[in-house]
Amino acid sequence: MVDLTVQQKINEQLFEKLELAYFCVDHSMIIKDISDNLGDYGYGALKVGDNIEDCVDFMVGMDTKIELDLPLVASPSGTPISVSLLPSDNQLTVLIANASIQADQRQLLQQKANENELLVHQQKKLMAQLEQASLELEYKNKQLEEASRLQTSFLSGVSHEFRTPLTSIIGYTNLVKQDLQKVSQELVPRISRSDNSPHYLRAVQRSSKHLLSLVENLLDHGKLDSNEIVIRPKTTNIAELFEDVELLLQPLSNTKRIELVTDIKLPDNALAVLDDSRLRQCLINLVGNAVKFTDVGSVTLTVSLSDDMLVVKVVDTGLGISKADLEKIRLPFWQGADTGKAGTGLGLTITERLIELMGGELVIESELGRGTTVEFELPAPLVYRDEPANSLDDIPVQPLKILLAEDDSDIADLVCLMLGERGIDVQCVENGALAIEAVVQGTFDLILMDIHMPIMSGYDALAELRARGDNTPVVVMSASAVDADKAKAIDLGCRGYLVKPVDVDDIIGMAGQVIS
Amino acid sequence: MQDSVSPQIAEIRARYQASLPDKAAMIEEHIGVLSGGFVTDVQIEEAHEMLHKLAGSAGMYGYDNVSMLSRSAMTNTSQQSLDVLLSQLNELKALLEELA
Repeated sequence: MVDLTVQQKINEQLFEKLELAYFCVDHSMIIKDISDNLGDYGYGALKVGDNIEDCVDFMVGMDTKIELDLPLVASPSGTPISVSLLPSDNQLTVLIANASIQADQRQLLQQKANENELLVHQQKKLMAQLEQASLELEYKNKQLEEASRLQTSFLSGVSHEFRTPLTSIIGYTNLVKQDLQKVSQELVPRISRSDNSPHYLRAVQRSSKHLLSLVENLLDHGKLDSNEIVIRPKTTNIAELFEDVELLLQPLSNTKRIELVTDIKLPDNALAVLDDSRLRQCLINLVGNAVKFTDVGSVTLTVSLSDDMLVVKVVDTGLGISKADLEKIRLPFWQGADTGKAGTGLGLTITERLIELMGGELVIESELGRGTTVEFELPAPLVYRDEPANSLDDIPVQPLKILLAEDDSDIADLVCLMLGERGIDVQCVENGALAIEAVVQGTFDLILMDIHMPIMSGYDALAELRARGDNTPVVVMSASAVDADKAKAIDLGCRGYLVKPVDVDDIIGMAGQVIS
Repeated sequence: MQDSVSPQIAEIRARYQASLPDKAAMIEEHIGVLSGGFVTDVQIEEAHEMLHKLAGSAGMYGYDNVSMLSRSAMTNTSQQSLDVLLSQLNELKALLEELA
């Protein structure tokens, strides 16, 4: 048992430490007793005999018989207090303690809660903004894709429209030139020596050819953009190909009075499997560019073969390219600002993409004023004459069987004969319906299908073959070079598209590609 | 086109060459139809079909100019460019007659 004096001392110290104050009221709310330190909380005016409800707000209407804790109450002094109501038989003791610490903690908690709430709000707002930005980006991306598609489609459309009349102009200019030559031979005395017509014709031809090459570039660019260009490897005499390029560009280098040097280290009559047409296009572009941008010195074309890889290097002593421009030259439509050379700015872009499609990579090294070196390697597997070649006309083991659906007998007869002479077994039918019937009755390695045919068109026949689950590869052969026609045929499942007039080598090349 | 051709191909080429007057006559028929005043879309479509075939076959037999001109005329097979089409058909007919 603790001594009562000690207990009282403890109580006093506790009261002091907790800064406890108190007052006691009877059941009529009349103050019976108060502590001396009530003034610390702003209740200094209280005195025994006062009605507590008149003096202390939190006591108004309070039940004097119920024990109750009021954790945080504002006191008149401004100090936050906690109030405990302790009822007994004849009175109610009201303990008042300093609750500043709890109030501070509570405020801190509240502040943290508020901050958290604010963070959550901000996070939600940011998420919403992010979502909105993402949606806008997606929309803009779609717009850009659509704009790019429209641009490609427009360029292809316009180029097609240009190409037809241009080929016509070139063809007719040739005819006029031939006529003029005939006339001049027959009527030499009557033709004035000062007649400038041949000179004018040459200018028309040169300009038309230049314009045609620009249009072809635009078309190729559009096709590369929409992945329409197909690489068609075939057995090629590579030395001949490089000699052709040299012959083609020699006049240009002669005109510019620069030396075009070729160093072709290839075995005699070496045959390799590659797309000769696309390689020729790349070489003409790269060597042509080198000649175009070289005013003094030389352009050297070096070619070699190593481990079935064709290594090509074009070195010029021309203007060179600055470091900053080296990064831009691969961009489509980019042209050096101060070179003053004509062009579309597409040649290099197309060449680089074509080389990539053929399995190579274009490397360009240059320094302003010190010339440029362009180099690439391409897979070019060598073919030996006494070995089986990767060309359909050299594989007599199992003759290919091709079904030709063509209503124009002029074309059908010619194609049948030409393919037949290459050891290919060709069956010819006149329309799509007969083609379906032939496929039901026999097996073919390939179907060559015209589009415009009576009774059943090539489109309908393609759809029917697909509906029947027939997997015979179909190559469409049409006089239409319109992109929409080609796209429709491809949508219907054709594996290749040839624009008439076609050469038998085109057909065989395409057949080899499609069947393999 | 190969320079040295088999007798069969030479024969088929000769046959095509021999058909050039018929083709010129066929073009003349289309010219007659299209010059007759009121021209229907079907008549224009028939001319387009004819040109489409000629563009394909003539090129395959080495008549590049006929093919090119046919292809060019194909781009004018519409009511709006009838005059140009007729002029090109006349050119085509003359060219075929010259080559025949």
